[in-house]
Amino acid sequence: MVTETEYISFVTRLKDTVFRLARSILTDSHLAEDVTQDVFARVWLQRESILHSQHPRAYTCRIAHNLAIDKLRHRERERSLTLEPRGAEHSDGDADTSTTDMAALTKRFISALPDKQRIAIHLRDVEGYEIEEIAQILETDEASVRVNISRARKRIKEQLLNALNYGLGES
Amino acid sequence: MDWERVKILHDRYLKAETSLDEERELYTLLSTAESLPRELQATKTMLEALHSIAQDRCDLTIRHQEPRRRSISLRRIASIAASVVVVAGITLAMLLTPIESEVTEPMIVCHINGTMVDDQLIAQAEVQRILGGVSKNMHTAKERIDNITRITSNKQL
Repeated sequence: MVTETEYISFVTRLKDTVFRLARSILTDSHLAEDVTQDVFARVWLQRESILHSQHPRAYTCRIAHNLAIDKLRHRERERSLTLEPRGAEHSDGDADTSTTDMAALTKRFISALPDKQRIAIHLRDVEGYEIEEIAQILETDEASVRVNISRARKRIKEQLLNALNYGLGES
Repeated sequence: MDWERVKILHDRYLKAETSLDEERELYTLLSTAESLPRELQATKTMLEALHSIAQDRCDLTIRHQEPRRRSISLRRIASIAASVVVVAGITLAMLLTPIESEVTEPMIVCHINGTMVDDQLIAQAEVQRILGGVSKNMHTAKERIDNITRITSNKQL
């Protein structure tokens, strides 16, 4: 029987992870907060099965991933109906958008990655998940996860090298 | 700085072959290096950016679930109360409705020496036996009353 205290402790431990994962998919902090709320509402409803599962963290992240993807599709549909130009979602509340800041530039390169690569590198390099766990969350195999992470890392590194070669980072 | 080690880790990192410990080791090695070739500088920048993203916190206040649970339980209580009212209504309606003339065979149940019997013939036989006994006892009682009456009238004479 999962107590309220156990649930709150679980939420406290995982809320930042879920939020960041949702934001890496949606590139929008407000939508990511909505998804985070929804995720933990679901966790509460299924608390017995989730918190007593073998990988409660991976289970929760899979819910977050699926909800964020649903939200992303919903937003794409709305955008196609309103003819809103794509790319508006990248104008998130992050203040550090200066191109002279290499860290900010790297963040922009990451947010411009294809979805699979962005999510995979986020789960690995930001959240520190094992490849096996990422495969569980994304419902794919470990080889695909490694390929996506490798492509993402090489791509970002290449873009950063270009920026360094053009002197963008030498401020 | 063990450049050979850095190079191995860096190559494996880009191929996503490193373990989490090896990635932490690479991050530490690159962070502490005073000067780096451009290739490694790019990777260091990437790792630092990823590390700073990891520091981002969700300022979301997770709503306490109690109000939600309370509303659910109130809803449950309301639905249970409604169900009870419906069941009571149906029961009352059934009790007040006159029974149709269609009579089903009544089930005869009796207890014989503490044993429940639902066989009609056995029950009838038992009833007859008991009534016979009662009749016999009444006959005997009548005889005794008659005797007492006779004796009493003789004494008065």
